[in-house]
Amino acid sequence: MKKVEAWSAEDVSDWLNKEGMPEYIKVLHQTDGPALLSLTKADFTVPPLSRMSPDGGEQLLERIEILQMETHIEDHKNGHANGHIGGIPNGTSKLQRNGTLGRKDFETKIRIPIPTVEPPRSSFPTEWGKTGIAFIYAIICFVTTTVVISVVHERVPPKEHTPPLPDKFFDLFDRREWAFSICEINGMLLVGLWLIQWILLKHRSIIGRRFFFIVGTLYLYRCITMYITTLPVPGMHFKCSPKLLGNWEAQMRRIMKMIAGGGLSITGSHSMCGDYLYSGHTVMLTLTFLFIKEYSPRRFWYYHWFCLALSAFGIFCILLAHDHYTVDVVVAYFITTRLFWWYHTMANQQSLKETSQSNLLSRVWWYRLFQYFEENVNGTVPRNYQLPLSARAFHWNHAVKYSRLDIQ
Amino acid sequence: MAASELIEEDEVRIPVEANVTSLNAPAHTRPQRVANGNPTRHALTLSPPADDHDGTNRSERSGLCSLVLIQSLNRKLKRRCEYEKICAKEEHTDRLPNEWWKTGVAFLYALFNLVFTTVVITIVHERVPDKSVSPPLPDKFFDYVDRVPWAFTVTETNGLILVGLWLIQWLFLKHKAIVGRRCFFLIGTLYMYRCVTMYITTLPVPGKHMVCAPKLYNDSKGKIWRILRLISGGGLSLTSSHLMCGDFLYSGHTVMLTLSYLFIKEYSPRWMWWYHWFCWALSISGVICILVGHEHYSVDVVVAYFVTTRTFWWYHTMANTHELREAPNNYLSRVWWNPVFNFLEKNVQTTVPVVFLSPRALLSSCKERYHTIGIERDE
Repeated sequence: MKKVEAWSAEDVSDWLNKEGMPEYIKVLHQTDGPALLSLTKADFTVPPLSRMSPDGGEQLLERIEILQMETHIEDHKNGHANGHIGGIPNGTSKLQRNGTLGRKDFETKIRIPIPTVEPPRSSFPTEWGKTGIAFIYAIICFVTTTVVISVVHERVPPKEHTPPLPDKFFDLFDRREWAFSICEINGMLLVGLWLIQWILLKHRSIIGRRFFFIVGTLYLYRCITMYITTLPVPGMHFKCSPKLLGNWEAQMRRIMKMIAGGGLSITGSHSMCGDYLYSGHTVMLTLTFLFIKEYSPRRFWYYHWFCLALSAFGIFCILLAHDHYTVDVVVAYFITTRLFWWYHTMANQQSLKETSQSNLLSRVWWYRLFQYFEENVNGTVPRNYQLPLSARAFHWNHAVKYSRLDIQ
Repeated sequence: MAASELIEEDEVRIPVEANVTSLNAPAHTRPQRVANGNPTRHALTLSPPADDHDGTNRSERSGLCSLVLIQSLNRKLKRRCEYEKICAKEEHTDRLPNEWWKTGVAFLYALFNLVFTTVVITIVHERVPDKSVSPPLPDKFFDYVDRVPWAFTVTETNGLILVGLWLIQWLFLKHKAIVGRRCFFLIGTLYMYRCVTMYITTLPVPGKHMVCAPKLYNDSKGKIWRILRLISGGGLSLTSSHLMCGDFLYSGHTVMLTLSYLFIKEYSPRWMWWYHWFCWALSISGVICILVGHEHYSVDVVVAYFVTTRTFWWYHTMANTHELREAPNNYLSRVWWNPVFNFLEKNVQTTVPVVFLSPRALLSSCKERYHTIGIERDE
């Protein structure tokens, strides 16, 4: 390629074509090599160039500069072009920016320093310690609930004294004895399915933490609502165990029995009355379904529909058995779904993990606890599965670390 | 062929780029559309001043090879995206549009729900068990605190003051259409939830002191009279419009006290902390006085507080956090009122700033609005 100074107007036009700037060809059709090199920014402020060039000629001037450099290097090919291109700082190269070099036979070594990076930390650290704390929190809430049920039982008005309250559902549907057993069986099935699913999840520590926290908080709320106002029994069929007024030992034994039986009537551990607002069975049925749906693959729609049917029918059976008022079930559903969605929205959105004027979700009382649990989790937890034993086998080999190869 | 035409249109456009924004302004096109750019649309809207260019260019272009065409087209498109900017001022005014008709829709929704609540109260009143049949339920607060007869008057007075303060504050807000819409929507939804909980299970009266009007078993006319009386009195005992029982779960008074405080705090300047504390004191004392007056069970008040605060914070987070609107797993949008929310808040692009108009500005804006309405009507 001959030097730019020796270019004719035709060469300039060809070069403009090659560079992909054919619009300048018409304006610069009289320009030859030297005139091209002498173009300055001032030339672009007057017509006709000002009309042709929306960016004040910057791009064209840049290309002319590159062209100059190329010819300069071509001249000094065997000389001191090693690693330097016309005084540009080490490691950067203007030529490499847009990637379109005019010359393909360009040989020089460019040194680009790569800073040594540490292997990036996982976005989903396991942190079993935090899961342990959430578990203890849930256990405390369960035990508190049991104690409160025992306390409230002493205050339930006898059914002869205060008959069951009028309830719309009870007016429409008569009681069926077998319904509550179905509800509890459904509940146990759903909890079992969720447990199996949880064991198969890869990020089980994070998800387990969420489950324990949400369940604990829901039962804590339940303690409060049960305690402050005591609703009468919803049906005359209820057989409430006798009140143990002041007999602490017997009350403790009753509490233990309830915890051991998981609070289910099937196991015969739940013979106490008064825990109506709001329904713990509804909480478990709804929550397990929400977690199952959330942390299972989307294509398992038949599995989701099956669990939804179990959950919905279970809740319907609670009412059919006249074991809870309708308002208990509705309030339980509302609180469970709202808490679940609230927590997960905050967990998935980084901007909601910081307090700010526009983040009103942070005004809940448990926000600090939430931040503690979810601060190191970056982004949405993916639905990955892993057998638990294989993970343990993996632990014994130290993770293979790859290091950067140094080529001199 | 098409590519070369595009380049020509590009060429034609470049000299007249300055006209792009001003031409678009009266048409009120959305910023996004203009920025992405559609070469054909622009070429159609602009009057090409360089018609003579086309003829001469066409002959020259015929000899170009396709690779150069594509390359230059690519570059031009890139450049076009860089340069077609929209006036910043125009963008700003579009981000918080008034849309008073949406506020009207929200107002009708709230009105409908208030009337519906009144109807449900009348129905539920017929089903409240008699005091002798169903005595008041055991309540922890009632065990500790005996009834004080004048407490409920304090509640209602506080409620009226808070609502009055909020009304005045709202009148002076610049974006009152948007804020009003939110207020009406939340009131409507909370009262609708209340209808549901009141209707499905009927709690007995919380205290023996309550005087419930006699039941009108099949007297529809009498019931309608009661409904009208309740609406006209605003549901307050002060106006003696509220003689009906059964509307206990959950407490409407708590809803109004909490909600007006939340709105007052949210849409007032942050430095007015004394004002916030005063309203908070009014609100809290009002709520406690409901319980002291034995007018509601504790669970009614607690559930009302919970539902009000959660719904308020939920709605406002959805409205303020714009990343959520495009986020794939936005669980907040799983509520049943998400379509209504989208309808109300679709065009609100940013957090509503707390800006007030001075009384003079308020009057002049009112006059302006009436003036323009008058002109429109004349036309």
